[in-house]
Amino acid sequence: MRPLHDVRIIIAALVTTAAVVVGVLFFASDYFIDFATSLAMWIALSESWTLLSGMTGYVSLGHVVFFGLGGYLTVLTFGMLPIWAALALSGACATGLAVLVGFPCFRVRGPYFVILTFGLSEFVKYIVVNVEARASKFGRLIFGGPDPNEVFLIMVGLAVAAFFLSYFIRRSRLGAGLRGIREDEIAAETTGVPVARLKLIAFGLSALIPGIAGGAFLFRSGYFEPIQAFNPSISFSMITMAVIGGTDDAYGPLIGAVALVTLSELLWANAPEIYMTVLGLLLVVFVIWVPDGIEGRLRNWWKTQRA
Amino acid sequence: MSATLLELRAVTAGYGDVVVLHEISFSAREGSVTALIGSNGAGKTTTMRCVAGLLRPDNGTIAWRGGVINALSASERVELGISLVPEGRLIFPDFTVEENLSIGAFNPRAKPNRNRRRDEMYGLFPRLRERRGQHAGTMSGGEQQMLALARGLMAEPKLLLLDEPSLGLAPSIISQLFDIVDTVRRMGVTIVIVEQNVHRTLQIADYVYVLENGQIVIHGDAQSCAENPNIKQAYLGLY
Repeated sequence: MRPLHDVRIIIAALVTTAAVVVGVLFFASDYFIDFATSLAMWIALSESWTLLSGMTGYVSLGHVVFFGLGGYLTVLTFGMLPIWAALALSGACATGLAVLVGFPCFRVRGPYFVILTFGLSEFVKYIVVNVEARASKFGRLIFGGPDPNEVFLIMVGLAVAAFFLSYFIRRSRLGAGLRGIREDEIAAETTGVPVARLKLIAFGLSALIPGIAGGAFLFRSGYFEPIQAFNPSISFSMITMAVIGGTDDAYGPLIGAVALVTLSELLWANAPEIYMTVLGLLLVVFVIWVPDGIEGRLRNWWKTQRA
Repeated sequence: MSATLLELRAVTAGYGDVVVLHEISFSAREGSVTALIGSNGAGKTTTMRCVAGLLRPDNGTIAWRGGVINALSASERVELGISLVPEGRLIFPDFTVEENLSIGAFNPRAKPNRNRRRDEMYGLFPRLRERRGQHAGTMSGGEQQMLALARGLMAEPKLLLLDEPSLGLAPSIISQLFDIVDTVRRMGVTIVIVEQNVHRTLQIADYVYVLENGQIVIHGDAQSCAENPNIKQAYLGLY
């Protein structure tokens, strides 16, 4: 560990974030605040996704389930609970759900785990769809939530928290154990790494912030509709950002989110119909030719520059 | 006579419907080297997996200092002091040598002494010190086996399980390896070793069990086994 280096990173990250936040709040247009909120949210989501899937190699294709669940709980408790309590509840329930489904899901690995997580998120989605239909609710609107500036601040807080969670876990004993699981799970188990417990911890942590972000997103969109809140393309986007940016360090998802959110803004404005196509194409290109992502490439380039 | 550290009583185990071990019983005394020999498919590796906690026996008990440990997970057994150096080494190829050693001390009992222990390992295996920053997967087979052994010792085991440590290694390396096993034993670590290299194993072992088709067919101290005509014929190639 390099404590001094870590302290510098923390200070640099916090100062940069604070400067950006102040700049945005005082000078930016409403449009730009909306864009920055979206960016912060995607950083939070894709950093969180890597906590399990980047570190252990157990690829979750259903992470939207935590996002959607957070949104649903927040809309259900709106007006009954203070905002902070609703968001805390959303995060706690998302973590709880991850730990609960982790028991059966971690019995399988590889493609089976991927399919199981995807199936699970669709399963939960249709439960919520049916419950809502039974209650004759076709979308729920929210009035009087936090204003856009407050939502922006919440999302930035989540992005910073997710980044540091990701940064420090990668440098911790827990992180070493998780990387061991990715390299060779049997070897890790033999070495004394409590693999079952570590996978549950990683899954629980990776669900926490998406749960809260799902709740906060509700105040940005102003309404809850299960087909949208549990849309699998949200999972796909988290994964694409992480893969494009790189999953070996916390900077990866950050870079990937900045790249893709910017790209998607440009495309939505000019050619909305090709956004998902471009996403798919980028994913294919990066998986095949740049598996260590932009961050990995930059790190290697930096190494050769110094050598 | 020293105390019994590990004891298997009538352990039956296998994979799904395939039964590999049929009521195996054996024990290892504290401070001794116990060898399990036998042909391919006899159940040696399965026995080791049962002791390490990677495989649950269908029947029978595994006892550690007299207490039954069947229900403990692999990591809990490492914490007790049982450390497996698996067949095929299973080092982490993309970790550096140093990272491989560090993760060996993952259990809470070994963790506080990690750095001191790592220096001891570098003393025991000078080659690993030279390669500390290198990715483990780029090393030779012999070096990887030394690393696997050192990683197992990082857990501060009381019982070291060695599964075919000489597999695929050059004769000169095998000789070094057995010397190190002897050193480890003199450090006070109890050893259970599975080997195909019977000749060399009989020289370092105190007690020997011969496995055939999942059953123990012969057992006795190393001296008497070395003189046993069946063992001579089947495993030492002597007539």
